[in-house]
Amino acid sequence: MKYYLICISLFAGFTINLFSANYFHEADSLFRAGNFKAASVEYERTAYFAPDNILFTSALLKKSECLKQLQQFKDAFSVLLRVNFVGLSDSLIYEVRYQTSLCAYLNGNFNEAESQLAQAHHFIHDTTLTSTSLFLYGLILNEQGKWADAKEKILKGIKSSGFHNFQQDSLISIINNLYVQQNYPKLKKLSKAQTLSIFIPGLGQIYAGSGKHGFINAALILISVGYMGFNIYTHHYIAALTVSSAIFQRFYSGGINHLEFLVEKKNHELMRKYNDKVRDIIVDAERNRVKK
Amino acid sequence: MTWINTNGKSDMRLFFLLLILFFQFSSFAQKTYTFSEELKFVNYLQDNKEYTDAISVLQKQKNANIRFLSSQQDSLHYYLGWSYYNLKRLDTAEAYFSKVKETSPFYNKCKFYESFCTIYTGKYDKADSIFRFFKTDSSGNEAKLKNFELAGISLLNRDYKRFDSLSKKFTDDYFPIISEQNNFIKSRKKLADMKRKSPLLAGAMSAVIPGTGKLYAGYTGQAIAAFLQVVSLGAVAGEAYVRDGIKSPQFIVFGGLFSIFYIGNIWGGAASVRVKRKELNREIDNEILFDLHIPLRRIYN
Repeated sequence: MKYYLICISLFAGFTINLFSANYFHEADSLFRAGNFKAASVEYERTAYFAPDNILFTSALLKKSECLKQLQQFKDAFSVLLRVNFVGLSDSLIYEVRYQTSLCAYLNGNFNEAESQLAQAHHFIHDTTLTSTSLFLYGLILNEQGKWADAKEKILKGIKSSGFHNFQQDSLISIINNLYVQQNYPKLKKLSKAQTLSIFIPGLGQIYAGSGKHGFINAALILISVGYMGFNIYTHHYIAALTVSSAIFQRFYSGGINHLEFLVEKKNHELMRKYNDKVRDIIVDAERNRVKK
Repeated sequence: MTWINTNGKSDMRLFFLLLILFFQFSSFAQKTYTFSEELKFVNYLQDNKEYTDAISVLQKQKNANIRFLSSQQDSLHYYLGWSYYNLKRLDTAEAYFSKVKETSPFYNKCKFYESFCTIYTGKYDKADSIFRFFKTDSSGNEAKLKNFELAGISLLNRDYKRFDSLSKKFTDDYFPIISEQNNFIKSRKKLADMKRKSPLLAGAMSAVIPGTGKLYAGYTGQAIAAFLQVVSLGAVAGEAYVRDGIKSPQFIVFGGLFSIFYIGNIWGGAASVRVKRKELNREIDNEILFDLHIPLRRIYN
């Protein structure tokens, strides 16, 4: 009898693993074959037949992985929102939160990405789990322009990621050098650009980093003012009041309206230049990781 | 080495071990699902708004080399139609809904949704013929819904005589369609009150006072803009004529521009009447389509 009990207890873990592996068998083989669409349907079937919430959640996680492979980040995000956290272990809750945040980040929904990780860090107190998301957290905060918070998360991430001492020190020094006030992207202010253009046409465009547009706009406004002056000089007052002033008005207000696009474009470029640099440093460090 | 002993105890152990392993590994074999299991799964997918997944499961069933019963085929077509309808692929949805036979429990729902998809894709006459062959109990709720849908089609076709005769059958005892019935009557009134404005008159008005044709059509802002454009160009051309004479380049340029804008203003005034009429008709059509749709969702969801 004692022998049977030992045997059953030894087999318990093995049978549970086999049990869930069995559920995923077909979907996993489709996934391995690169047939992500069919695998996604099979994982959904597993979720449907799942006898408990743990298996249901694992199936949805795997389905979201398929959708990620298909670059359908928004759909992957929606699938993960269906997870019910009741009765799940911290590690599984964390995995869901992390993946949801990652999908939101990949979909460009940074507020939602931050919200998911903030909840994970707030409700899960096991730092061995949450520390693995610190790099992602930093990248998300970077996209929102919260540089100081991003720096804090990334430094924490480096310290808890198990890098070898020399690699850790070098990374910390790189991050400390990169995250200083003078290196942060100096984002352009639309109101400032507009004020500049109101007083000196073309100056707002130059401030927004588009000198070419600034000079063209200023030249066109000068020509229209010149034409207005010419009309006054030749006593064509009606033409000066209507046609040339309409042309002037078009170029003047058109230049100011165009600033919204130029400022947005410039800020996007500045953000990308800085954030992509940080992202590349983190990805390279992970790729060339030397363990302790 | 007790495992391979020949005594009875060891045989039992070996038997149990083999039994466990058999159950584990035999379940790795690919599982096939019955048709009703698949439909339950499709239902679950639709409940979770996973319509593309539902379509792929149903198409897999459809393409499998299986001889379906007539009722199974109907279910397949209904679920496919419903998935495509929810993905707003109405042409495909209509085709699947139309395949569902009279014996199916989904038949009535399919007919109403088929006709809705047909109406939405602008084939009003086809929608009308769907109802012509769709038999309902003359006093039941489905008959009331059918009458309501036919009234909507008549309004879309601007067949007021038919609408008036159908609207006489509107009743106040079937809650899901009461407010939409009233909306139809309001739409009918709106259509009747829509004045038939003359493009010719609008053109003539614009010729006398630029922009007034557009004002008559109902575009106040555009009318003011057209007036200012034409009058200021005319004034500039007049000024150039007075100061520099008829052969001056300034007069030729602005006189030419004035002529183009003046003719364009007359043409635009006349065209704006037709554009406005189309806009109003489209607006009312959208209201009718919306009112046709809501009761279906209310009744069949």
